[in-house]
Amino acid sequence: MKVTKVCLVGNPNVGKSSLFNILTGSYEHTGNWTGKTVEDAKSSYVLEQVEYEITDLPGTYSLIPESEEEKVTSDYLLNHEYDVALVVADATNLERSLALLLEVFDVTKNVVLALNLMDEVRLRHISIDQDALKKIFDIPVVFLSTKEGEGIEELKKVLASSSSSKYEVKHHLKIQSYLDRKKEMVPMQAILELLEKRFDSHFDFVPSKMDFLNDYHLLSLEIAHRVINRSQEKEKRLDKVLNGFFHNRLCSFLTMFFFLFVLLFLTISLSNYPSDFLFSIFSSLEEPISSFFSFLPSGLLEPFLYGGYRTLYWVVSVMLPPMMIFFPLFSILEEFGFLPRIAFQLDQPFSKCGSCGKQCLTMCMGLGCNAVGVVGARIMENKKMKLLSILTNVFMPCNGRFPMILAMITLFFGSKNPISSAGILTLILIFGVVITLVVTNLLNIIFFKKEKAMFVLELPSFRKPKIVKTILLSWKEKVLHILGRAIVVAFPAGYILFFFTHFQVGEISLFQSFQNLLNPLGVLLGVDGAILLSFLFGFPANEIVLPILFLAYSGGNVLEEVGSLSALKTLLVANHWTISTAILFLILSICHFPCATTMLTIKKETNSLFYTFLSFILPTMVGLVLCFILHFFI
Amino acid sequence: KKQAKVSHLGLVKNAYIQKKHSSMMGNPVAYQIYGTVFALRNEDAKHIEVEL
Repeated sequence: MKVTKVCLVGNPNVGKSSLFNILTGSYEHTGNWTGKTVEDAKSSYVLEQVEYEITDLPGTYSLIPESEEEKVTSDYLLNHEYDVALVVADATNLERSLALLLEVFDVTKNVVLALNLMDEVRLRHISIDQDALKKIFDIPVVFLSTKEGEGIEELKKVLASSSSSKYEVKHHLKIQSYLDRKKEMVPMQAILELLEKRFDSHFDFVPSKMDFLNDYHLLSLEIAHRVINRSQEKEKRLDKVLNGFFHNRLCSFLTMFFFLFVLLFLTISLSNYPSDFLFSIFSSLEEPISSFFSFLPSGLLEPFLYGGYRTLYWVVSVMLPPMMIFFPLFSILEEFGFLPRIAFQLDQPFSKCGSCGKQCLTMCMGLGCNAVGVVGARIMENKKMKLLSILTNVFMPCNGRFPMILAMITLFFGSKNPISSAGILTLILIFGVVITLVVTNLLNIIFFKKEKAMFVLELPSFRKPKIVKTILLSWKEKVLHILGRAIVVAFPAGYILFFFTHFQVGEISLFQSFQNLLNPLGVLLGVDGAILLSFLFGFPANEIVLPILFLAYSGGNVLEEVGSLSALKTLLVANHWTISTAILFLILSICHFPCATTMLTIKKETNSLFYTFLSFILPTMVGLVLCFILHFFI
Repeated sequence: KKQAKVSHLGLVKNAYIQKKHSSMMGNPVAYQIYGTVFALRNEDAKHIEVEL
């Protein structure tokens, strides 16, 4: 089959990933903020016996790279083979978007221009002359709305029949004469080479990046003015209303706080019932399973049922419901465009600590999964801030720890009143943010010079998300993720635990002897050996911390019959848990080493054993010290 | 180098720039150039020459 290779190029946040998803039927993450896609994705579709291989490149403002990360796109365009460069541009912002198109013209002439966000163009009463654009650039131009799914068929047709354009970018006179002499090279290659060498024997002045960018942008402005008419432009109602909240300083603070609170309130108040429901279903299945497999010797059946199966269903029932409420709601806020606003509002405190507001974005990703947050730290402006956000990401409770925190709050701080529980959860998250700030500041003072970087952050226009689609997508992903983790991690972990608790060393089990070993340290910190042991054993995945804890307390051999969450409290209280134990447990759950997956990701991203080690020891020390100090007071 | 970063957003010579609103601590401040709204810290913004 013939293969046509297409690569998607565009400014950040113009909907490249959405377009990629629609074209190829994939489910890459999308979100209304700059830097959502940090790695390129590849997939394909088939149309009339031709395979179209689409590569989604990370969004970039320019092919003249500003940082290592931005090199990805220009490197790809210059050094890979492809048939068409599909430039995706923001139709509401042609003045800027066309600059990137011009830069792409300096690399290849096989260009197709897709103007996305046409739905917004209509809402805002902007008019764009499609024919003029086509004529100027001598390329196919397609009007798209990835949100409405409009223009996709036309785009596919155009991709099937695209041809080379005759358009040449006209540079500033001196630059043009330089490029004319370098005829054997692709213009962009020549430009990048000149910028790198900073010298050319035929050249009397050495142009800077600025000169080139000025060139492209001025030309882009000039062309945009010819094709776009903004005389009737109106501000979108959504922007007007939501921006209203952010115009006033106090109001913007309260808005952020309010959204966080409502999000957590809904999660808490709605997740109890499905949790109990899942518990009862899974535990009622125990009987039939055990009788079905009764032909097996008990040496095989017991570890399966009391080790693997119980850990698995416990993880699923505790994790699934809150995650299925929290993440869809969070995705909706993300699609609206709230995340960059939070980064904007919180930049000042982070800047005081040597970082910048963008760290909030990596923290938000960390709420989903710390490993993702660590990879997301690529959006940070320089290496120092990237390291700061990687090392502190663990202070945001991830997917695996969030439900355990929720369960603790429900058990010890009143399940009857979701408002107060949500308040406490909000406080815990704010505690996580404060710890992040303090540790960032400490790291900045100890390890890094006080170099300052510039902070530039785009604030996208608010966009109304497809609510049902967002919820379903997020559900699908979370269910798969949690079930996957339960089967891959929790089930085997349950098995292993079963053997630990059954392997006898003298009078007591191996598990028990570990616990006794850790107990003095635990008492010193105001907790006990079982709690420390469960965090240690939770290293492969935080999801199994609570099951291990109950295993430790049930003193015994197997996870005791646990019908619902409330039954667990009895068990904890019987083991001398008080509210202060719960508080210390919560602190430890926020401040301890990252899980194995995150550690591996940190190793990969920092490429340094020292920082990987630091990322392990740092939060652990914070947790231990905090507990040691606090347990005297509470 | 600092200049290049804002040029990416379209802040080049003779561009028309508008102040939108400031964050809750008064720094950074959001500005608009054509369709782009972006935040700049005051200490960075003071290097930009404007004509009123």
